Amino acid sequence: MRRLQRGHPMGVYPLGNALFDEAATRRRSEGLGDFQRLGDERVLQLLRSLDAKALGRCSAASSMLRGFTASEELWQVLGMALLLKAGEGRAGKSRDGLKGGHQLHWGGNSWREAYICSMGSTPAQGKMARVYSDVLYRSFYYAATELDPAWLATENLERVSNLSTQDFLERFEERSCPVIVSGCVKHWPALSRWSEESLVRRFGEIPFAAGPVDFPLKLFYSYAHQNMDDVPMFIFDKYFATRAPELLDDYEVPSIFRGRDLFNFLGDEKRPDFRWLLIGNKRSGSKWHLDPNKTCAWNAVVRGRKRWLLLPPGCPPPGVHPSKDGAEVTQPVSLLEWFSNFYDELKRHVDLNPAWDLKEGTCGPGDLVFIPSGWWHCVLNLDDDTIAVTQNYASETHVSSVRRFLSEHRDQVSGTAERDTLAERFDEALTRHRPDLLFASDKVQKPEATAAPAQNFSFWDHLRSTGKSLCFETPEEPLSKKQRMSETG
Amino acid sequence: MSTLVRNMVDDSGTDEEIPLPNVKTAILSKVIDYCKYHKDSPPEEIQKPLKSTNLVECGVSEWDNEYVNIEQEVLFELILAANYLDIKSLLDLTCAKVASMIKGKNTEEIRKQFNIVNDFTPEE
Repeated sequence: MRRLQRGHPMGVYPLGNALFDEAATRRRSEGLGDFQRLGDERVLQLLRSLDAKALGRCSAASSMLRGFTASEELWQVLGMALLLKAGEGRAGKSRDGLKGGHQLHWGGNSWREAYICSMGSTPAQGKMARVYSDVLYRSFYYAATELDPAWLATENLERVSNLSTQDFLERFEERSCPVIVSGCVKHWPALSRWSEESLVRRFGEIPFAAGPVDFPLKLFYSYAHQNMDDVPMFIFDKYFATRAPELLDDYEVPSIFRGRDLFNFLGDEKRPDFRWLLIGNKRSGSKWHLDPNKTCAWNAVVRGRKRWLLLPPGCPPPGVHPSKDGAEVTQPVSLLEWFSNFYDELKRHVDLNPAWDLKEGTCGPGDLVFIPSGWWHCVLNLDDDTIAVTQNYASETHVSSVRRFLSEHRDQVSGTAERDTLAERFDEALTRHRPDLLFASDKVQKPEATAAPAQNFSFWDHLRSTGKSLCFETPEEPLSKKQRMSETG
Repeated sequence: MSTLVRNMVDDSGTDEEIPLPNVKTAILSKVIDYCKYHKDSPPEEIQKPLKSTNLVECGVSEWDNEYVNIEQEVLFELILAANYLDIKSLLDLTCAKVASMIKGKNTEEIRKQFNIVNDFTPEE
């Protein structure tokens, strides 16, 4: 990380800096040639279709193209393809018939360097001519930007040390109230057994899921300690019980949640995914989202610290735009980008709107967070080697919402192959084990927020709130280039 | 097929004129050809990275391949038009075509094809 503070390793700077470099305009037009008129976004799009060899040949064409082809997103795709191939090889289903092939080794500090090293070459070093591009600089900026202490200052998530199941239900689950419980996992062996050193010793060669690819754990940690990602990858594995079953001996479902997952009635084979192992370094984390299938969740930190932000159902924060049906959520690419651009606005909005019950808190080892059904939340890992385990459950308290969701939003049902039939199968299971619940309505006492905040957020309000002034170019008086530059700041 | 046009129609209905100042007539006409052809048959996703300089081998249909067999100047105009009109499949196709023109060339050939100047100092 400190390395990034010295500036972009490939000499990329924000576009405005070109104003101070006399040769910049000529270098850009000569270095991009015909590509210049396409704009930086399109040039990157072209490069996404190229393999490593072609990228290499482009990088040698001019200093501008070297800057573009060095873009980490291009090499991350190539690196992840190596991981996918390795996964297929392990499963005995290598598609192209390529024998052996290259493995990804994490040499160097970036996907680009790692890929080049993995191919047996050495990445180019040395002084780089400056390349000015906001498009190229953006992801680097968010990879390097420091966390603002103001984002971590508020602690208004309620904390309790321990409580009975009945207490928990009455005070929190039935009131749809998030809480940190600090006493219920302190007996877990995981708290002393789980760390990079011991997990790599026990499971270093075992692949764990990180997004769309599997990373052997040792390789994952090498990546995690040395990368330039604005969206650092983290392990989020639902298969850990089969991949590393010994881990199940190191923790147990806390008593306040034990035996209360109605999806258990479906049997192990047919129920939605429900437990995940989480491992990530500082700055990795989950963007704003809702948990699947209207389940509740608990998340216990075993090592490191997590920063939590939660908002009630129906209250997505500024910068986060769910589609009408809720199936898709549009938000900035990286969580840190959201923090940089929207956290302050959220705080201002919360000050003016009591219904926006923003909960903020930091969890350390031994802390467990309860996330009620339907609550928006995002999580940021604050330390390297932050390890946690999390489980989701269909609660009796929210059984009616769960059943309605499974039935009315079949295309959004997740975590199971047979999403179309989950509603019926769940009802069948309830009929057999808990027929009383088929007629139950949610036990939640506090009414869900009835405001429609998506409409409360007008784009115009957002523009006004950012405090920036806007100018519009009229055909008679085109703004000078310098004036235009200042607006993008 | 054009998200821009669809949004404008959603906002103002089909009686209003839709201004497209950034697209020349000849290019717009070519875009319309594409949209008419693909109206009911959306094209396949093109695999990335391209595995060959022959687009047909990358999953592109014969018609689409022939469609982008045009002068480089027109091809670039098409990219800009597809971007402005927000027609994803046309943008993907035209970008893939340019990428296929890069692939398979060595550095000097790339420079020549796209008028790029070698600005490296000897030590770089």
